[in-house]
Amino acid sequence: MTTEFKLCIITKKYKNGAVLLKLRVDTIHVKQVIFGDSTYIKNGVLTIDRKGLCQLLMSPVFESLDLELASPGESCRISGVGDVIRPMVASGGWEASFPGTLGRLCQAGDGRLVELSGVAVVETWELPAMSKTFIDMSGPGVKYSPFSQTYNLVIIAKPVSGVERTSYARELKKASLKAAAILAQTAVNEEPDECELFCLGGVSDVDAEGKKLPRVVYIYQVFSHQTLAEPLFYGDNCRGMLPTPVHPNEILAGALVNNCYEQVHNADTTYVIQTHPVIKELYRRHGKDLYFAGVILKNTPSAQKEKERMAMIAAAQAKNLFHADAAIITKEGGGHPQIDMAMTCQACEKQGVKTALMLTEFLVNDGSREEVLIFSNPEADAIVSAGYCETVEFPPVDRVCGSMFIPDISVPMNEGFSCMCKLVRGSLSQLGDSWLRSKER
Amino acid sequence: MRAVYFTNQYYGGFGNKMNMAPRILEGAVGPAAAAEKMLVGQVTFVATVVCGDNYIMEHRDDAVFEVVDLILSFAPDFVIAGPAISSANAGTACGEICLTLKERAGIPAVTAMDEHNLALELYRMNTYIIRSEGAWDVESATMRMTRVAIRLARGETVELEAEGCFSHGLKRNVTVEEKAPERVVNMLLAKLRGDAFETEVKLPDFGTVKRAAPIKELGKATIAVVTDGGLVPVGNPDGIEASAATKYSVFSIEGKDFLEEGDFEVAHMGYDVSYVTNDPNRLVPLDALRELENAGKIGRVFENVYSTSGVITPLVASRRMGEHIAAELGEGGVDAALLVSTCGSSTRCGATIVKELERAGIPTVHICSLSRVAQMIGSNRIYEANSITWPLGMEGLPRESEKALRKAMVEGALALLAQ
Repeated sequence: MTTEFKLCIITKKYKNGAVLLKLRVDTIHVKQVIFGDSTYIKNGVLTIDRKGLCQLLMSPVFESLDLELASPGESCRISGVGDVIRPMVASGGWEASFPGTLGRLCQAGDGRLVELSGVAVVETWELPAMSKTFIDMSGPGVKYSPFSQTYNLVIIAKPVSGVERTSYARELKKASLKAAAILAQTAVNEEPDECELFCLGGVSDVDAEGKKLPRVVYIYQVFSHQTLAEPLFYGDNCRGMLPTPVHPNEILAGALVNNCYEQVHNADTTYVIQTHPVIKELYRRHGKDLYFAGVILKNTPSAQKEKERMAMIAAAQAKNLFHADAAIITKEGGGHPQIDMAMTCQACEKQGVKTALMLTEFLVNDGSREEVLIFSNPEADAIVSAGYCETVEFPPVDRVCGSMFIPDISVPMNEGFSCMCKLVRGSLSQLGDSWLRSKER
Repeated sequence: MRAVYFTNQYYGGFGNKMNMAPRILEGAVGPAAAAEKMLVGQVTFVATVVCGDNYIMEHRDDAVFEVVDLILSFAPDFVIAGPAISSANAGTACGEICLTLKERAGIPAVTAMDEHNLALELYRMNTYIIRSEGAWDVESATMRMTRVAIRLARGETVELEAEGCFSHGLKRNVTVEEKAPERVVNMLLAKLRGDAFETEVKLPDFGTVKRAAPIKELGKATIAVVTDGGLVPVGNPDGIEASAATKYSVFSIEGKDFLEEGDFEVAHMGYDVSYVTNDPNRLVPLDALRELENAGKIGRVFENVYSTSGVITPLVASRRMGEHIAAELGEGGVDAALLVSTCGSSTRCGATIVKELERAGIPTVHICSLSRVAQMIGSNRIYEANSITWPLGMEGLPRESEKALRKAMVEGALALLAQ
């Protein structure tokens, strides 16, 4: 609690600073999840009223909605996974959480959030899709997914026949976000196990020796141009968006929500966005060895000219709005967003903003090292890899939650098979939520 | 251990007889003899097979089999080949022989090349290649080759870098203590300070291909259409894969004035395929080409369309498809081609095919919206398309206007063939 105390004093002192969003995240560790008669948390054990929660999450576009539990270490495979969400609730309850997507439209990133760790809400996507993913709760898959180590509440919502894909997606998203908010709501009066404060203001921009810290901006490139592949920002997709300066707290507090169902593995889950590894890393070092200037949310249009326009505007914002010395650039989506990344890198360096890139190497499976990039511009001289797409052998399991068959895998999902590791939900995180990196052999 | 040494005319002692047919010499010659002396008791070179570099380049597979048969007749435990130092021809010969020995007989074979040898990238993945440092390094490189080959023949694991081998150029995942975000911030700060840092992902070198000669008379030329956009007849009769394709589909457009909605489907996981499904001419512009053919602006539209799915298709597979398509177009009397691309990695596949067509002397215009990708991979003639999802169309325009727009674009692309 001492850190929290110190941080609070600092923020009070700088109350009138320029950047006013102050986010406090209270986290309660969940040690076990069970089904019971009502929904509550006690001594780290989360009890869920299965029937009651099903009723709360039901929608007219669902023919049925069922909840299942998958626990770490179990011989269980969650199959056809869509999004994964971290239980989180804002002060106003679920009606104020994930603004624009679930709750009413309001500024995200200010005030208090309550979150649960050790537990996740996992959706399965029950319509056809180009590719689907899975999570193994034990075995070799554990190495690839953080969601093998969480207690997972799995939502299996079967659509009524003839439903529009976008309507089903919207209702499924609402159901899973609502479940996440309801679970977190149980803990609002609990003593938090962890308390973090996120505030850009009130932090020194010089180091201990009085030397100016480098101002670093994060250019967060999201996927766009494909329906049901774009994230939602305050409830709207990112297709028509120009590069948009946002406060990092908005991202941490649910303003941005994953909505990728066509090629699920091409985008990180909402869970990872809520705990954004790059934003948290920049916050961790804010005022120490760098000054975190802010975030630019930038999309990836499909036409070359638009890509160029976005890159140019984002670079200009980095330079002129954030006065950045340097930028971290990440991407979502598959191949062509690499080009946006390369062009943004070029445009930034041209403005004198130094860049470093982070990506995963999944443009090919088990191929040669020349296969991982489709750009080759010399400014892109600093690239970090968050993992490589390799083939993994997965054993048979006792229980399957969700679809018995998914594309890319020719046997029923309770059997053993080998496939690309990117089909594991949570693997090859383009936001860097992984302990893996590639190495040449 | 019994070994056979393979080398070219020069190190075999035949000077510059580059065209010489394979010949057997008793025991070890040149650098292999020195290696044998140094590793006394560990290896006996029972024979040396010498063959001219040009002989192998001219007779390709036949020559390789000839050499490999000769080598196998001595029943060696292992083979060393080269060093090829910086010669691409020698590198190809040595690489091909090592690969064939491994695949046909399971015999360990090691060669050596300089870092800039053009054959390195072709063979490093599947063979063991010692890093050599030019002509003065030949004896020492031969020693290193022999040492590594002995280890392989004993069934031991070879620590590639430690033993002077090039990595296979493949990757695997390792678990690390610092997550990627921490490493990327460290790298950025090092870059800002001007400190040394090492990128974790090296920029690729895609290589260039000489521009194929332009078409002199477009009005007499036979034009083919190739695409990486996954368009196939309904039912996907050739069974092309919707991602990481290993094959392509060939379908006839003979007698058709345009591609009709409903006759085709799209096997491609990299873009929203609904627009092309609704009007396949947006990807394969037959309607426009037919009009230009009827107006005498081009000689004829080639009767077959070649289509694959380029999303996350490896370069090796793309190159191989490109070589085959080039050969088939050549046999069909095609003078020039248009290649229409879609998404990012698909454009990479398309550009790789374009390069093979150009290498075979078929000038090819790469029609793609991601012209940056095409440029970086090395397409010589690029025409910018409208979008990933409707390369040669425009959703929202009335069909007739869209067709007129397409015709103008196709004419624009064809004009590049004359340059």
